[in-house]
Amino acid sequence: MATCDRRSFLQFCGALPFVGRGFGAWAPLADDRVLLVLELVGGNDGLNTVIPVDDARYAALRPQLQAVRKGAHRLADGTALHPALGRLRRRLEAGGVAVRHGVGYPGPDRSHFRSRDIWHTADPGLVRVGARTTGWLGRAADLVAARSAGLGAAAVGGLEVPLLLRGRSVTVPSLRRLEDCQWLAPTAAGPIGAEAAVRDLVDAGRGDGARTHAAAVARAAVRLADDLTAAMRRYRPAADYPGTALGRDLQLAARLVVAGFGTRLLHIGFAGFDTHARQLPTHAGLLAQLDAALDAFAQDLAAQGRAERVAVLVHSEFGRRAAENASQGTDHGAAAPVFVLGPVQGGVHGPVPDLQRLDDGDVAATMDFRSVYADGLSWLGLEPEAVLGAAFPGAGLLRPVR
Amino acid sequence: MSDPLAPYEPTPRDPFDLAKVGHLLRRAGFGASLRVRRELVRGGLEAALRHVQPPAAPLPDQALQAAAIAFGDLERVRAFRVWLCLQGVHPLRERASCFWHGHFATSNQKIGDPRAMALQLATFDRLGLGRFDDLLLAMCRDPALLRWLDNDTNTARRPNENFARELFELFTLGRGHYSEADVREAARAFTGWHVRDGAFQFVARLHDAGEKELFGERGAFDGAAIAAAVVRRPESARFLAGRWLQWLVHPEPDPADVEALAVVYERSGRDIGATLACVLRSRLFFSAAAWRSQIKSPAEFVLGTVRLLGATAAPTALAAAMAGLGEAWLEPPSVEGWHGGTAWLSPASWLLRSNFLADLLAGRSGRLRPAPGTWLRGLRSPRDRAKAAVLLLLDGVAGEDVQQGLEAVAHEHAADDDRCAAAVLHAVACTPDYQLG
Amino acid sequence: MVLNCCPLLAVSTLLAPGAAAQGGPALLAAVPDAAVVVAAARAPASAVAALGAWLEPLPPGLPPEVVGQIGAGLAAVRAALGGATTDWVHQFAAGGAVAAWVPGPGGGWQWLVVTEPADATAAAAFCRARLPTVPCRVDGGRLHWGTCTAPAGGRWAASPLAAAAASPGVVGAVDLAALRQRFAGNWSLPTGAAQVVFAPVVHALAQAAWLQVGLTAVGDRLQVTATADASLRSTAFGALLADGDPPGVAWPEAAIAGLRLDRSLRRLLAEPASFLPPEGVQAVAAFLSIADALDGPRTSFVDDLLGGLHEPITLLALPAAAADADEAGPITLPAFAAVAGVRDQRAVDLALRTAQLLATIANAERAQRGEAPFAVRRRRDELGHGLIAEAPPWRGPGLPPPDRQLSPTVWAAGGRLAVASTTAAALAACAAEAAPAGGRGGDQFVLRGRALAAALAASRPALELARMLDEGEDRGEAQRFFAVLERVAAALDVLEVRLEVEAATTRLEVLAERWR
Repeated sequence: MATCDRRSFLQFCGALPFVGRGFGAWAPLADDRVLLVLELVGGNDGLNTVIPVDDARYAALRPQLQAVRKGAHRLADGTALHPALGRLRRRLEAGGVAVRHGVGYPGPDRSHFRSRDIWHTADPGLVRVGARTTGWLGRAADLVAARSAGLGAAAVGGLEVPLLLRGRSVTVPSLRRLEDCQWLAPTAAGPIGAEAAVRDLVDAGRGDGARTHAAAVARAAVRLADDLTAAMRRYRPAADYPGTALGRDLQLAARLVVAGFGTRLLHIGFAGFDTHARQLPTHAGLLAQLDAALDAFAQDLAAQGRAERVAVLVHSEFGRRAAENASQGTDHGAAAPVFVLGPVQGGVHGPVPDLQRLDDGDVAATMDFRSVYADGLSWLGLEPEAVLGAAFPGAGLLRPVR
Repeated sequence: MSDPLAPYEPTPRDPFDLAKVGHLLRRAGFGASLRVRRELVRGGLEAALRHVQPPAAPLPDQALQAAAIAFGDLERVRAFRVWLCLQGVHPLRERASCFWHGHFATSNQKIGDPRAMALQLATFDRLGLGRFDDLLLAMCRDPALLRWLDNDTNTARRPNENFARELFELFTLGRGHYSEADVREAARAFTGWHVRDGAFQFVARLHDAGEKELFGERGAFDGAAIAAAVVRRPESARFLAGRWLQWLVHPEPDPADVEALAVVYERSGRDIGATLACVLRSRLFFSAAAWRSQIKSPAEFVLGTVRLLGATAAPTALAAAMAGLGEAWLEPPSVEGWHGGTAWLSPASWLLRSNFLADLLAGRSGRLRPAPGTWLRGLRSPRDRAKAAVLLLLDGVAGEDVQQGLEAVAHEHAADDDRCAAAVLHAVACTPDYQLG
Repeated sequence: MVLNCCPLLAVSTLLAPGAAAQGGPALLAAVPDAAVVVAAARAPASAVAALGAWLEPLPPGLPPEVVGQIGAGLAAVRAALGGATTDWVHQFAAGGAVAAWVPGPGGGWQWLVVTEPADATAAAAFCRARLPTVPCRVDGGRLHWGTCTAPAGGRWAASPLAAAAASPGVVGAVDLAALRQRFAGNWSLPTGAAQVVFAPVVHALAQAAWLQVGLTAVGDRLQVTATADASLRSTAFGALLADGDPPGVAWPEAAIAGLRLDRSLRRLLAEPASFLPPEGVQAVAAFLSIADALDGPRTSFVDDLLGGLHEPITLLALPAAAADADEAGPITLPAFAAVAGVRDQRAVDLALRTAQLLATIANAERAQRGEAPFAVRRRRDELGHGLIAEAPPWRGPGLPPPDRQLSPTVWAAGGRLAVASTTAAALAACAAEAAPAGGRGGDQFVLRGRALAAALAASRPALELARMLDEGEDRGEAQRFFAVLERVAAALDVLEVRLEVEAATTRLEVLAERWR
């Protein structure tokens, strides 16, 4: 069966409002800075990632899990990186990585879902996620969309768009493989009926939410198919990505960055960090994957001449309890270190977690996570207050843009 | 104020027609062929309700299920579940088992035991429309769920709170209706509730038999006592009623409706089947607000399309397609299940839906039988073909612009029956309305 | 449909063996030089009878509708030919026949059949009636029929096929060089593991100039041979051949299937870079980094374990032991065994120590999943000794999982070492008779139809479900599919495939023996 002819498909779609607006006439954007949020889903054990090796309390709290001290990479402030993070350590020494200890929020919640929702919405007071709840990166995507055409934001790796990328006016796509997004329809006709649904957008009331969404998605899909076909032709990898899911996701992110159609905000989820039992091999494996994939990503971007234009924020919804449990694992905790890669003020920032003064058995936060967000938003040239709803002092992890 | 759950009574102005049958079958099943839908219109509301909840439908074939498990392979277990849903022996039960799978969302990715996953689904088949008390107790003893939430390492010396927390937050009460102390005490009650050789096993020496305090009451509670106590909480009735209304009526149910259904549920003796039956025959269920108010899940989209066409297809391929669209049964993204709603449909997944259908209808994947041409056989004019396709997939409800668009598609491919049918059906399935459940 | 079938039908009848006549070699002169595949029969008259005799009677117990389909097919052939098939072939090609396939323009194929008919007028009339658009002419008592009109320059009369065409039976030849040229664009040969497994065939297809084929059906035996004029021995890959006169194992009567690939695993693992692409070399290194570590630093998997065994290794699939009827689950696993002669006793000790360690690791992993461990013990009797792991009794819900049918065993007896999925299979592999001395080597594969049918029957519920899920068939269709497969398998006594690498040629032989 013949696949659709691209031109006739777009002609059909051209009849729809918004679709195709700016296409063909698209010009390189003045601003190409990109923020990639890499989320370690499940609650990464911060104390075994950046290890307070010199603190005697650490060994006492973690009689089994302290085994990671052997082979750990010492840092300037007396902590050490997990043995599996060798490449990250080299980049840290070269000034390409910033680590901030103890990032969290007041009144930590130990539910994965609520804590993740809080990180995603940047709202520690969030009561319930409703249909209209937006995410911080989604709100940033609204700002990006307001000032430029193109695919401003994307979720990479999954099919669900995470709460973090839900915006007020923008429908953010989620991508797994660019090849998935080609138009294979047996007919040149695009999404029939979208026009009528678009009319409904104007006077949408309760009950029309799903229909409006379906129509908006149909229109966005048409645009996506075209953007991505163009992107596929533009990128040649300049690094050897590991064959892991994370490696693939990061390579897709690099592809989107290099393709240069205006993508400024990206999210990748990397799951498996909920290490309640037999944590040592699992955690080491996950960190090794992270280390290899991030290194390839950084190497690729450097070769593509984009190293100074892409910042990666690595965080998790919470750290884990300071004391290990009886299953050689750890349970849900609170504050944890975050990593930023790219044009950063390299090195380790903030006070080393004080294991003498735990907060209900958890590492206490010494920095509000929204300060880290504010840092990234400022660096992107977006107004942090417009996204976060209030002013937060920047974390000083990213270098100001010249 | 009128009772929102009062029975719907068909009237000449609001008849029980093909659109209503389609609505019922979409929510309480995975759709049905046009022949069946027309029969149900003729048979009337009661017959249709009996069709989705047949009183004497047998449980899934044990021998076939044993064969699916014997492969020791998740793909087979998943495909067998797809096969069951395609059979439509007891549509509501098949849907309810999917609902409970999303509710007690357990992932094989952690436990790596397809047998345990299959047996958990079989438990949903058996108890999913019975009393919630029985279902919850069975889940508290379910090997897959216990391992998924680490209760197999929950011991008196070192309690693990994971299972107890999700029991309250996700399975029964919802956030805000329990305290951290309740979680700790419940975790103690479930110590020693372990798994051995794929079966539940109570290990007395690892169990904390001491006194606990839960919801202000004291006693030497064990897991069963916790389960029995939590189902009696009024918040539990409201929590479940809300989930059921989200599934059957509207993604954002009205608090008054939730309250009313919670009462029905309590009065029924916490009987799930009776409560759902009450919703299905209610005015609320057939109201305009409920109609097409949801985004179809990948399962509804994929399986629903095959069933609406009255066709057969290869379950393994359909299961893989669903997984590609974001709904990999037995591997939910987290214990929260699938977020559903608008999250199902992104521009990328819309393209994937479109491409899946194009492949299926062209015979490139899924082994759809019979070939698409069969459905529009005997119809020559583009107008008739467009109408037939709308009848097949949208119960005959489509705007004039959609009709015209479809006629143009039918006209474009008029020369070849199979290609024409494939193109028209694909175009219908790519309308925004077809994405709605 | 008729248009597509008729040339094939004509050609296939000509491929059957026949009694002596004179036509074959002379007819080759009429074959176009451009032909790349040619079949010749000196006297095809009795061909249909011989092939029919092998085919019939149809396997008993086939579902009626399948018998009906085959019966209807045979009846249709007879009706199309206007009488008994053998009579027709005599009339059409009494003095011999050749058939040729010629690459046509635009990627298609043309064909040409040349025969010496008993009744040229009748034969020509038949051809014109069947396929009016295909050229057909009678020239000097010969019938030329086909879509190809390319000139014949005598290339085929001087080809290797000319000598073979004088011999009885039906023979064919493929001009591999020309075929490779034709498919130059999409001619991809396997690499990696497949390249090792199919090394002789891969080499022959890539290097040989000619492939000669012969087919005979005598009584219960149908034999196909194919010989290519290239040999792996002259290449670097030749070092992979195990060589020598291996004290191999004769195929046990009860075996479902057996495979002996004439390859040296030891040489492959010792020098992977000589035979494998870089990823393969890396995979071998990764495997050895674990395998060599198992028994500590002083022993080597390649030198001490494989080096202590006679290669090649024999692989066997054996029927499962009869299970209790009420214990029988949906899947009954056949047993698998690998067996080799022992060259150095230290290899046996090393294998047993390694197996002990692997069992410990496997049990630890089972414990992590909350599963009872396999009971591992050493056993010694008057015949041999070894290590046996036995599944724990099943206490869980439902039928025991199929892995409970396993009793992984390493057994040494009678100068052999066997690794098998069950103890019975390990003992059977060690106790099997030795292959007759001086027997032929090469790659060997044997399949016994009735044993295969029994193995299929033992897992019918699961196989049927797989078909329902993967093919979208309903239960009845799936049941019919396996009923047919079982009956067809049961009608085959034995299927033997043998691949021999001589000094300058590669020879494939397929032997299919009917069971009636």
